Amino acid sequence: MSNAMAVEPVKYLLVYVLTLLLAVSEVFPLSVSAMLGALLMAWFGLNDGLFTYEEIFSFIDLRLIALLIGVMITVETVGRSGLFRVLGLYAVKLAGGSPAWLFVALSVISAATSLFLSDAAAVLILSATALAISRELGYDPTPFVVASALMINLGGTGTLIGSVSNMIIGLNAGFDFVEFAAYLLPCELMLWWVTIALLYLYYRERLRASPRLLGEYRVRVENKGEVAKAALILTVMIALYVSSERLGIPAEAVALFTAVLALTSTRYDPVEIFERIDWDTVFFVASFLVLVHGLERTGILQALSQLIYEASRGSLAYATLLTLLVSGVTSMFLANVAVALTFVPPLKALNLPDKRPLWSALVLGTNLGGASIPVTSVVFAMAVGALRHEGLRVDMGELSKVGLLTSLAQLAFSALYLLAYFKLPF
Amino acid sequence: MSAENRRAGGGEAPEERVLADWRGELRIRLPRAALYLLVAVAFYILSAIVPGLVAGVKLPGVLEPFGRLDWLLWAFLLLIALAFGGNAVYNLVRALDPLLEAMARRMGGNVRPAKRVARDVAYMLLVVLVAEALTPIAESLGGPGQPLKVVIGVTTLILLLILVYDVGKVTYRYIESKVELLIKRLEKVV
Repeated sequence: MSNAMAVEPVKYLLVYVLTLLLAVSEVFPLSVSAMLGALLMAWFGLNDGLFTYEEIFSFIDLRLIALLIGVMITVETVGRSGLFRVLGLYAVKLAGGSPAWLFVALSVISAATSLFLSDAAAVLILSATALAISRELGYDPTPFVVASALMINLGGTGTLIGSVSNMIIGLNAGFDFVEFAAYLLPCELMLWWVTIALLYLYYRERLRASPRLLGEYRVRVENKGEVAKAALILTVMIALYVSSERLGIPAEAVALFTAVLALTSTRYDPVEIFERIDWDTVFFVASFLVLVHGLERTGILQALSQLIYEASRGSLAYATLLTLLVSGVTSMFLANVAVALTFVPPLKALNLPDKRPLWSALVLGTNLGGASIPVTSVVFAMAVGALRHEGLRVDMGELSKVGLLTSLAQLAFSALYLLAYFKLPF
Repeated sequence: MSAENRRAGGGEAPEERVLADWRGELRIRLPRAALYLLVAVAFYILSAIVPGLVAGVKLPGVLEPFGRLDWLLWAFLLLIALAFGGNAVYNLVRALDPLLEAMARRMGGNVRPAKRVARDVAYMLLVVLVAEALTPIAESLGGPGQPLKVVIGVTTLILLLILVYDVGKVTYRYIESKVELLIKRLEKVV
């Protein structure tokens, strides 16, 4: 980094701020905002001699991109079978028509579905299920849809492939699937119940409708063969991820293998599957990597790292709590992928012997801050859209209150979990 | 805009109506702005000449520098020049407002005030950074690069002024609406 001091870092910082502003104010989609930022970063960096043309391409982590695309293909193929819809309907059956139990069952199914599906796909499936059920039983759909959205955001926090930000952090931290789950899955499972309890307390008055009998309610599975195949693919995927460390297979190789398995063992048109991949996220990640590595070369991110170190006075506990708080709050307003990519270099540069608590805090912060405000959260916005589509009046103030309350409670619980799990002394 | 004009414009597309509005505003505001500017310049020149004619004359019993007639005249004439100058700027802004509004809408300005301000700030940054990126290209052209650098600089300045104006207007309207809401609530209480 000998060039770091020679360049004027302000314009590089402005490029970064511009990218975030363009994305937040929705001037362009996420990917285009990041591509514009990457283009300006590359131009300035090349002119100032901050990096070479070849280095720009080395900034893009191909392992991460392969992991993203592999997981997306698998998820898209499995999602098409209707497996998650069937699971949702069985949840209704199990709840037996009681609104309170239905609330709990749908919340758990939402979080579990999100472990494997993308948040957007999970919201689409679960919102439609929640709306159809509450319409049929005559219940107020708002608690079900809101709880479903918040649980979908929470679901997947504890697994390496649960969200894009997890894949970024996991690969950079060097965590394999099992190690990642060992640190974070217990916290996620505990957070499920904390969140359900909180939401139930908040909505208890609206869940007091008399239970309806669902004796003759039958779950119809239209495409049994495809559902069975999807379940098998998911089982193989999980088994491979769990044993990947022992087999010496990297996570991205498992993702690509499962993607090929899913494409060859199902009858879906691969071109359609490829079209449905979230290319916006893929291009956003690739471009944002150029932006962040460019910024790293200016020395700004090292300064941020130093700032975290000084603010935490060298204490791992303080640094962990600071990482959790800052990443959680910034994820309320910015795309959590951007927050994860920005935080990775400063955390790598931190001069601390054990960084596992820091990486775990970053995972929790970026995931939990994501569904606080309906205006900035995709998951929340989609749930609001589903309610509005149903002709229901949506009180954004109330939803923001629920979202913020839940996120803050989740972050507070996560702080206690991290301190206890890693036995962090102050 | 007269009632007849409004009726005539009723069937026009929104952009055509904006243009018609703008032409109407230009016809009224531009001559006014020019005249006010002329008067402002005239008073400014007077403020530089006239005080010299009464230099050294002091008003008895008045504190310095207020007791000096040249200073009083200079302040008086400058105030008039500033008032006319302000009026000229006001008329110029009113003349350009419909066009700037149409531009803001084209850039996606039909959104909540906070988002519109965020977009304006993003555009400002974009303009500054694109100008910064283009400058080395202009410099590398040698001779013809100099006028190109001036064009880049002037264009950047104009775009920044437009965007700053839009941010100011949106913020003012937002605060105004909140103040009016507060006044209405206070009126109800009273």
